[in-house]
Amino acid sequence: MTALRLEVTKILHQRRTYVGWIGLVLVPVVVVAAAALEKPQPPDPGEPPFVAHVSQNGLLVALSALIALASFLLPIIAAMGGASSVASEAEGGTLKTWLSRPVSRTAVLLTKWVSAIAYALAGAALVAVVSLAAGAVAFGLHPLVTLSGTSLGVPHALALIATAYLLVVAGAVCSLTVALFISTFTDSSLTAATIAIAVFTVLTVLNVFSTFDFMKPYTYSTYRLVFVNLFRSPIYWPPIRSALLDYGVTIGVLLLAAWIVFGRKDVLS
Amino acid sequence: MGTLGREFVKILFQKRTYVGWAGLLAVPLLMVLALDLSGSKPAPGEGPAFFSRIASNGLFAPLVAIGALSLFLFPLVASMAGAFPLAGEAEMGTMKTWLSRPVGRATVLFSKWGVAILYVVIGMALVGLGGLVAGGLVFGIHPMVTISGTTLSIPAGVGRIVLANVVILAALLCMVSLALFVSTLTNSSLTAAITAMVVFIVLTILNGFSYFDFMKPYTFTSYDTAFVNLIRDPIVWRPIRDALLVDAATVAGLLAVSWLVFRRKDILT
Repeated sequence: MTALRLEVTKILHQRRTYVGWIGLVLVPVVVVAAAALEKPQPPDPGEPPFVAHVSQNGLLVALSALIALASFLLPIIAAMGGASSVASEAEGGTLKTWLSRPVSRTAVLLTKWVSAIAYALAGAALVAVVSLAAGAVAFGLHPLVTLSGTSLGVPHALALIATAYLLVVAGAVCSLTVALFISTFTDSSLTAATIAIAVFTVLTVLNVFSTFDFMKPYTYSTYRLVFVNLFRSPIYWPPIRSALLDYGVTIGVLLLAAWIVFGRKDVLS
Repeated sequence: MGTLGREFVKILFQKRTYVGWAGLLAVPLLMVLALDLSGSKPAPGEGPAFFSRIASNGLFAPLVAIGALSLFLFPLVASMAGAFPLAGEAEMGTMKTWLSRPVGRATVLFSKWGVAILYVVIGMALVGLGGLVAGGLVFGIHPMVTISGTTLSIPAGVGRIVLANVVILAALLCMVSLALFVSTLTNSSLTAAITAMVVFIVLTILNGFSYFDFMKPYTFTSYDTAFVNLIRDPIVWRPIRDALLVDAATVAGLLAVSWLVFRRKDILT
């Protein structure tokens, strides 16, 4: 636990931590400002769910922000967190010092992983809180109309929104673990983060082409908007279950690979 | 030129350089492969601009590839390229050594900027050539039918594609300069690259809301489809001229502030 606290302190002393969080929080702020100021328009059929009616219910602000987070920002921020954990110690020349203490490499790796997750989770929580607050002030909180047409009370809807945020964070943890894995065999945090983001983007692009449909069930990028199924009544569980299974396998394999590489790595800096 | 040459040698000795180029080159190859393997042809209007035309004319493959990459992956690569040269020296503790030589800080800054551009240009050339060769082999190269319905000879078509690359390059220079600017403020290449990407994504999201239309003429992100006008006959120059003007002003502004910051910066590593 001490090790984890130390890691969190390290994160809190880096400027990029706050750059990341501010970037995340800008999204709901922009959504609210645009929706509050914009003249009402006929809904665009190509628009993702929830976005069209955002000015009618503050709860929808949280969901619209989540769509933007799931597609771009959170994977990027998570990749940054995962990449900087091991590789930036190597860059700063402090990895040796770390490992000269009586801690196992497994503990170091897992601590880095958990603290990076905490960072992504804190960012997502920040977005949820800011978007609900801004949405409540601008539009008020009203019972949520589900995609199936039924209505959910505000507390029930809040619980579902919290679950949706957790699902998206779980997806981002895949990107985070890719970055962590790569950061075990390069000493550059930038390389690790860029590769993780590029992998996510290329998978997202491949998901668009029907030729590559055969790999869709296995790529974590497929499930980035799976949380939408929580807002049907009754909740449509099968895609959510396959998403969680896919995330679990992806994260497990990558973490194992990261542990194998890091366990035997020559630490030169 | 001597400084730029040395900088170029430095990037050739980094693994990351080749990962980036290979990732970019994979996109046109995978795209052509996907189209060749899939039985059904994409409907007009589906996918990125001109996507449905590749199957009848391989000449469109490099154009579609660069157009699709310019939405996300190329800005990512450009921000990585712009962030690393300067901040990477600070990370490795070699900045002091650099500046102890008889070179002006302006020369250092501009050679870093120049090498980042060189990296992006080589990436674009790889995508263009890869797309042309793969598209030509699989679908054949035929005279290009423009959006206006006229037909251009093959050399004229290739000329238009090169022009489109130049227009897209201008927007990528904004990303390179943005990352370079942030890297004068921080000693971490990861922070610089991620900050540049966050700015890019937030601007893209802002461009999506009509309330923020007033800033559209001034943001470099709003011209992501300007290059399409080059495939008209005659070429519609107005949006292209606007895009180039905004790009030039953005790059000049960012370079000027980078120089102001870097000129007086305390170099501690």
